[in-house]
Amino acid sequence: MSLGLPGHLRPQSIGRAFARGSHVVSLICLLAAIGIVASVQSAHPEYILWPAILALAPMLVVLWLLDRFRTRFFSAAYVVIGGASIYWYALTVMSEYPLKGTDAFVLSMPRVALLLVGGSGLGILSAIVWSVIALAVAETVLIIAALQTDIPIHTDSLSLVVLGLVILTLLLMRMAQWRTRHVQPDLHRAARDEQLAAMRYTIEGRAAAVMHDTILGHLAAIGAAPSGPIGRELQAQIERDLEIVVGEEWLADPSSTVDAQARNEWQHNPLYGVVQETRQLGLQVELSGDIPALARLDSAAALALALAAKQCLVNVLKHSGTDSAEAVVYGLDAGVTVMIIDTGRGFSEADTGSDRLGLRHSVRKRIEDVGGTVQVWSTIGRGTSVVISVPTDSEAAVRPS
Amino acid sequence: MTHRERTLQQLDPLGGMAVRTITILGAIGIVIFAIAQTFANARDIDFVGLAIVAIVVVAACAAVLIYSSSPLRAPMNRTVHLLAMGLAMLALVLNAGSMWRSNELIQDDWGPSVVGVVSLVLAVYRPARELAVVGSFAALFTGFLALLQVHSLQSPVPPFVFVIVAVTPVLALSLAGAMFVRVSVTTLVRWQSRADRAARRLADRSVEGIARSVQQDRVTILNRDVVPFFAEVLTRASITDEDRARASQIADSIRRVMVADVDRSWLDVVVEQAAGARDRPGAEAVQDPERLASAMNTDQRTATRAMIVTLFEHQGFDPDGFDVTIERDGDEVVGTIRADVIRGTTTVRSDLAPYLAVFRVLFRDLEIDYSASTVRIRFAYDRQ
Repeated sequence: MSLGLPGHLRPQSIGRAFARGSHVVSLICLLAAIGIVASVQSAHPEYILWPAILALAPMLVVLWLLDRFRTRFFSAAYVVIGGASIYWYALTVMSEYPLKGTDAFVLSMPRVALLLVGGSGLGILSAIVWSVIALAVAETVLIIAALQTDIPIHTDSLSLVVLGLVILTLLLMRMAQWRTRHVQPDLHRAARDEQLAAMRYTIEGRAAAVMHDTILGHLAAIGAAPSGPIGRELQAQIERDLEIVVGEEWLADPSSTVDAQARNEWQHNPLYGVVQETRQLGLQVELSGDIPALARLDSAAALALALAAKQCLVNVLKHSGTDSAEAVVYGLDAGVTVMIIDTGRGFSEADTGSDRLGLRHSVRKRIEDVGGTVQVWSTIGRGTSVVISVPTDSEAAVRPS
Repeated sequence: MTHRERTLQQLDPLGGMAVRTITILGAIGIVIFAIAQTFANARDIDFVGLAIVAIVVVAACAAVLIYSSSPLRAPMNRTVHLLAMGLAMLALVLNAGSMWRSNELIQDDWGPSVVGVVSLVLAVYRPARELAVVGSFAALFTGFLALLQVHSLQSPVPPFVFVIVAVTPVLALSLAGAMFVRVSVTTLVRWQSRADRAARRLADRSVEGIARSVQQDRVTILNRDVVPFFAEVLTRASITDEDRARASQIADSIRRVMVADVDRSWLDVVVEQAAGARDRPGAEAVQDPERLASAMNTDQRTATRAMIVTLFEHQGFDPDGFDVTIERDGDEVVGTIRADVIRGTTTVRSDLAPYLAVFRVLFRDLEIDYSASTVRIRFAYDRQ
């Protein structure tokens, strides 16, 4: 949330912005002075005024440098070189053109340009001090030039007014920060609390989901179980519930700490739909591992993986003689691997009948089409493991070299 | 207000509020300056009526600036900018018209300086590009007007010099204001993105602690009923009718807790935390039957959180007289915060003012009503 800069950064920020704004005024004042001198020179060729334009050139260069590098060195260089430029400029104008006094507009412009040195951008008080020094230098060189050319010395109200406005504005800005100094930290604290609260809300949602998937599900299973000895599977599940509740396993589960976006991505992954679907068919699928890695797959690979996994899970349900399977996701650099494991009766791939086309076609063919591999380990009586690997960039993997 | 322009007032509502003093002084300053210069150049004036109307228009411009810069009317929009600049330009024309035949010097006319100061004063409230464009057009017009006055000016210099003299204050102050805003906004946005990154890193580090605390809450609830029950069933390795009944009873009670948790919105939690605990006065103050508080965005939630915490911390705040109502009103959502303040009614306004300035930028249709001892804040936002 944008609540403004914290208090400790404000003086520097205001100082910097004020300096840059001041330099714009300085530039326009110098250009105005040059414009006036050039206009008069073109209308009155008898006066030799063009050296005054040249005199302001070094000042313009140092102003450009000062605007780029707001350091004390360039502030000092601007005041010193600007002072010299103004002296040369004033001496040329005063000796060539009949001015009524040192308060003429054409002399006020470079004077204002110098006093708006803007400080070194390090703070408000520094800006005020630099402005006062710069005006003192400008006045001094103008008085010297006036004494040399016998021009009457008048007080320049314009530059004094500008100096007064600079000081007033900077002080008011300083006071303005003072007024909000208590509120700013409160708002920043509220922003941080809000962020932590949102995070807690997400984690509580995860905890509720864990609770729903485990405790409530198995309480319902006990409620529906027949009287008598407890089933082996239910017993194992309840033991696992207790481990989850008192342990920290779900904290370590990457999907518990991923943000809402990752959760959303997972719910849009085709494998998510497959797991839900086979669960509805009556197969207890336990999914674990690096689930966010699935988001790295392109859509073709993700779909092929999901449909292959579905065939494997359907096979478990149809042929393995067990109603539970485990699916583990491994995220690798170049791809994603899903291992589907069941502890059913197992089989020999060579001995499978012609009705078992699923593994050959729905699994192998599909995965090979996206540049992936399938490996099957099965021992009769001990269960089956199918390892499906797909590359993250399936198009590149199948592209002919 | 959900879309924010790149103005200092909108990106830094507190800063915008704090510098209002400068706006007010600037507005008063231009009126005093116009009056003083009118008297000083009384000799040049041909049409006194026009001179008076010019000052009245400057006063109207100052009134617009003071009225529209109030944090409670934020954000200042482009129309106000154009209105204020339009009035300043009208004053410039009237000022020039009042001295049409006898103006000797253009540099002592107050018109161009007033236009420049108005543009500068508006800088806090409008984006840099708009300030630069409007200021440049104003400068062009000022230069053109100066050319038209050449006939009366008593000086031997070429006409273009008068144009430069007239244009300089308008252009310099407008562009200086635009540059000030550009630099400030850039600094602010850059800092914001750094702060956001730091906040995300902090959040990442906090995840584990929060997760443990959430887990601890769950374990505390489960240890009471579920863990002993499961342990008993596992030890016995058999299920009885009594177990079945107990299982559904425990499941019901867990489900009730979960439903109650789901029903609690972030706003309930904020109010509870501000009150100290769920059973403390004020903790149940949120009336949000449709759970519309969840439609607030992060910025709006942050401001609401800060406002509620400030109210609870106010010395005269009465938690029994506090309530927050969130309800649907057509396509938008209307929130109302009502708080009784039994002591310190005079300080509550100044305590709340900065937060209301932030509210004004983040929400629509902000209404604040201070009656004898009750503060009522009404605001609206999108349902998203």
